[in-house]
Amino acid sequence: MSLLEKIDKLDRRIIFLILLLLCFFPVLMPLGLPVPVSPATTSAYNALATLKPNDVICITFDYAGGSAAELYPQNLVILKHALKLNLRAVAVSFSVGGLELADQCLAEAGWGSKTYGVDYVNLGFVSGTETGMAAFVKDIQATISADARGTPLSQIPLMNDVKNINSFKYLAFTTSTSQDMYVRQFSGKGVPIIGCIQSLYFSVLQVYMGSGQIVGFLNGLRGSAEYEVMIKELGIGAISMDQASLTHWFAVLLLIMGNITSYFVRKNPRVKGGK
Amino acid sequence: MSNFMRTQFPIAIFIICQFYIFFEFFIPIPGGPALTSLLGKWVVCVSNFALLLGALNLIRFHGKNIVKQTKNEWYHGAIILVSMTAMFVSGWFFKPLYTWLYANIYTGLNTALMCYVGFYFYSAMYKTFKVRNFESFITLFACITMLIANAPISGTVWGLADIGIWIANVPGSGAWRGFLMSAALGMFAVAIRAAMGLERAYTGGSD
Amino acid sequence: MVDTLQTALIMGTLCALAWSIMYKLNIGYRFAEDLTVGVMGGYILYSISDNTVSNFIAPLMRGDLLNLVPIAIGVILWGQLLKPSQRWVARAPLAFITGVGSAVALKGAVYGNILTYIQSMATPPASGTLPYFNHIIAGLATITSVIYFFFTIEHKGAILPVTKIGRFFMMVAFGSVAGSSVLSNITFIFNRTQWFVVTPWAWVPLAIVAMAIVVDLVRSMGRKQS
Repeated sequence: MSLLEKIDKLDRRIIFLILLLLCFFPVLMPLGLPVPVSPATTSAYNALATLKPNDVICITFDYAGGSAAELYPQNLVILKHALKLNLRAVAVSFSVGGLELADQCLAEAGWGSKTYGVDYVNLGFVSGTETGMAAFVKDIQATISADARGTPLSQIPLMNDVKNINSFKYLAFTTSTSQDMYVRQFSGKGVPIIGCIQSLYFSVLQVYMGSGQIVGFLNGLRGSAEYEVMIKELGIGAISMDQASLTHWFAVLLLIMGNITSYFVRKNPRVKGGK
Repeated sequence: MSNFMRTQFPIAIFIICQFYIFFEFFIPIPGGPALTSLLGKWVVCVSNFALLLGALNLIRFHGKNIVKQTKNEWYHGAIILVSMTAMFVSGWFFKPLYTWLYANIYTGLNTALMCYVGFYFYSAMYKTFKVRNFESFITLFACITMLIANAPISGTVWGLADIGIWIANVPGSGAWRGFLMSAALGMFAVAIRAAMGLERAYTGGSD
Repeated sequence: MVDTLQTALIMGTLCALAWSIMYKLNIGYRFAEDLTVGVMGGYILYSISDNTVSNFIAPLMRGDLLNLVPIAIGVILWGQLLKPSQRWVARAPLAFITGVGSAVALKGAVYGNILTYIQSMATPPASGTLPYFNHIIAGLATITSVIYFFFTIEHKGAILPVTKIGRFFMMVAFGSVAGSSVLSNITFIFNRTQWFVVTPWAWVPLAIVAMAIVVDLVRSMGRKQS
């Protein structure tokens, strides 16, 4: 086999090894590469920054397991920002997996220093996906009887100010699946909507933002890194951006190299099946 | 009566619920919003039972494999059922174990398993994403520009990231708008077909 | 309950076993996979039952008898577990969920997925040549993509070039999504590599599994040569 053929038939385990090394290297030796901030993140930041103290915000935790790697840092950074601005937070989950993540995120963002039930609450899981969302939008107290800890809503002081979606001054939906249902149910009610999404759905969220259905969005791990830069509290997102820069350029190299070697191998008459 | 209960009754339920909820939004009906909220809450409860059904089916499937001692399968079923029981019981009676399992197995180990997707995607980019015609060239070009745009360091070189962002924001999101509109129109078409009794997937197909 | 060192070693081992699939399928990977599936199933079972008890059964016990109706419908839905000849009982609850769910989605789709986009296509940007140009390109992409999906009209004659342009724009969209999806897919690897570096002693099981892989590789290469 010629060198070109050997490169064309490169064992995928070598690619895995190089990728793994590129992921480990920036964590062991941080490169500190810059992170430019996108307009979508700036809009999402401004939507929260313009709120007044004691305004109530809502964050949905509709992901779990593996998706938490990309979405959890986004919720964390928004909650840290909200804590700095002295807002009140309501966490809710329309997917069964996010129930525990809400408590974990609130604690990690520092909301333990506030009073549960007065400054923040975790309303737990609302089943029925889109139907659950529609019911939540209309009347929260009719849809949910008790919070995640089993306390009836009537005994939670914060819920005296929260009746339906219009009680919120900001709503951030976080999902690893279809964002369509959130936009269908939450937008157009006069509440600024922010999307916290996997970067896979970047183009889709651009459509929603272009049509004014959402105010801004965080584009995956990069979005959380940009937000961390804006609130000047670097965390998981910022650390990952060094890894992202190296691995993305590696991906570009693989795509170009794969096509070039395959083209020349196909053109070579000595190769079986070549011209 | 039997045929009515098996086929026509479910379709009647579907049509009544769908028409009521849909038209209540456009035509004010006294007491309408309250009934809609109540139906929404009931669906939330029934959906809980549907999710529990999924979990029970999992137990039934793996339980059968263990009882029948299916070759090469029964011990996988045993691990699944033991860990499922541990998680369920600890959720009700022993919260420290539940929290540990959630944070480490449900989140951490799940993430480690999902890494498989990332590694194989890179391998696919080298071995599978080949240009064979103009359309595949366009797709590859858009993919490469988006990869460059998503690498934060590209933003420091003037214009490098902008091409990918323009492609995603303008022609890309224009096409997505078309997808979303087509999907919405398709949803209406399927809903009308279901209301006419032509779509019966939820009734288990034709009887 | 389980201290940090034990957690690091247990999780380090399990994550290393999960990654061993990259070398080849093995029993360690299958164990990690089964454990995850079981824990996920148990979590769903626990959180749904907890939610049902606190939001529906507890209010029922407190006297809100209306909750009996959805609970009864839900129990009838479990008719799916019966013999095939008896499963028809579950159709009505399924029809109820589907009917309400589809109407809720359709209500949102009228304004959210159709009228809003028509409005945004019809509203030109305030000023500037580039925004106008972008607006026209995006509008063209939308219209040609929608026409492409009208399969009730045969794609020939005057329609054919329009659908071809629609296909072109869709290829651009797919390429863009493929490029964006790389960051989504690779975030999992970022998370675990950061965890391995930050968590004390977590790297030890990974190093042991890596050495085992190297030994197996050397042995298999030796067998190939002989």
